[in-house]
Amino acid sequence: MISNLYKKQMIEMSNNPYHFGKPETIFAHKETLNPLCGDKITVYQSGANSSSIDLWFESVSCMICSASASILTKNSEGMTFNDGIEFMRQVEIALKDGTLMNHGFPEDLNCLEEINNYPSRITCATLPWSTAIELLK
Amino acid sequence: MKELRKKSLENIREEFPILHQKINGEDLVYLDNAASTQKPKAVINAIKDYYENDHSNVHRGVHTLSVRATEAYENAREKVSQFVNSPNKNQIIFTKGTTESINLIAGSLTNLIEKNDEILITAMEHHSNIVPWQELCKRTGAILKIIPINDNGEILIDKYTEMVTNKTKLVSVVHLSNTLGTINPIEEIIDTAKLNNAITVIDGAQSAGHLLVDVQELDCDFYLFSGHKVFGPTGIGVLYGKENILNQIDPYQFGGEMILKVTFDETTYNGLPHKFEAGTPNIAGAVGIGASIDFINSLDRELCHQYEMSLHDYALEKLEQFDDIRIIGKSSKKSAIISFVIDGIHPHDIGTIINQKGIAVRTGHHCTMPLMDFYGIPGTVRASFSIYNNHAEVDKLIDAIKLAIKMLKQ
Repeated sequence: MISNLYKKQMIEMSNNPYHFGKPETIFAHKETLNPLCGDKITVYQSGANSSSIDLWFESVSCMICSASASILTKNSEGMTFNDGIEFMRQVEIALKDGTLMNHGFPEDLNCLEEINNYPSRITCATLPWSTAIELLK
Repeated sequence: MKELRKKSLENIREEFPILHQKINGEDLVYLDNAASTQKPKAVINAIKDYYENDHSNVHRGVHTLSVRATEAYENAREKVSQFVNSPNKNQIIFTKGTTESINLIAGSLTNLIEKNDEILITAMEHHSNIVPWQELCKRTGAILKIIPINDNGEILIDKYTEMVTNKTKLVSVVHLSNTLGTINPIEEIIDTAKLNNAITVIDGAQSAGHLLVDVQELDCDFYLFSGHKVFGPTGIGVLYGKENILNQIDPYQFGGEMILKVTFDETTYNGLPHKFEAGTPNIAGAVGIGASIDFINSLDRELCHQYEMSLHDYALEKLEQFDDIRIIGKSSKKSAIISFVIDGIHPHDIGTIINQKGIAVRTGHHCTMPLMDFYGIPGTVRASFSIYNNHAEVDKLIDAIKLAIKMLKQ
């Protein structure tokens, strides 16, 4: 069922994404293109906080990518860099192998549980996470 | 028009086995013909028959199968030659596809292009008609210039005329835009280029299956297209070139097939077309494209064009009734391709949702990222029609788009 992919929560998150835009001060940023479609996302680490994760993003992207980025920025906020990178790596793998529901991840991620059934769209969901890992590591 | 078509519609669809399947429980509606057309039984059977009965390596073999394979391969070349009205079948080079055809030219022209020479392409080109020229410019110091277009997706022909000078060494233009559907005035473009002795390259990837092509009447130097967009197989393409230029330029790849004589000291190259066909060629692909040309020749091409445009016009009329849909590409001279964007919804989301209704459209930048930048959009939804589509499928497309908009704008 396509409505299981485009869940109401996912659409809402995409329409009102958390930490969308540039932070007032930027510590570092990373821009990535989706190789499948050319969509673009830029993930920023705010300069206001140098000891823990405070991510923001800008994107020209589909709903899945925007919602996924929103989940990333919201649920990584306040993590240490090491913990955050580990969390992001686990999520990225789970999105790819369809085990998202097996890890006790934050509830927000449940709305992406169907993504593994749409192989051509997995990269849309993983792009924010892989970009953030590249930014922070 | 619709009545005329009705009688043969069932027959045409019957010739394409892939169309008779369900996708996600719904009848397949294949509207991605600009990316690749489906294959009629005649093409599938020709390839099967070749492998079951005639396969061997071509040229130089004295045994029966090699002779048969060579005849099949060279017969296909003859069919392609007649299809584009080439004066000589030796001016038809088989490649992997249009992309390789362009790369062959760009890779072989190095000795004819000098620093500060200018190469002109349009703002609507496919990446395959951009990147090879960028690389040629890097190697030679030539300058790539872009012929502008207007918002309708039409070349600004006056600007083009101003841009062509004695510095212009090559003009490479798409005949029919894969993204916009625009049919470009290539006759005028070629004439203007020739006044300044510029080499003319026409990317016919999208046009060869839809428009009549006569390379002698066009008087272009090169015309290129792909098998898989003319109902033929993937992995086979065509480069037509004028004999004098093909003889002037260097081979693109080196090895077997393209030589006359090899010693450890030197090599003498073979003549046309073999000079440009190093290695064992795609024999089955050539057989397939030959069969696809037979198939096209069995159709009334003017009627096909009229029918495809009736689908285009019907779909366009319905799409224009949506307040939040913007059509990308409104040239007065178009083929049956419609690109559009929906306010606030990314093309991929539309594509994924309507696929659940069995509808195959292409979404994204269609390998024309600079064109997307021109329109300030990340991509489009593109519906492209072929002879086996019908008006009921357009209705299904419209219903599915309505559903997608309702779902995503809830």
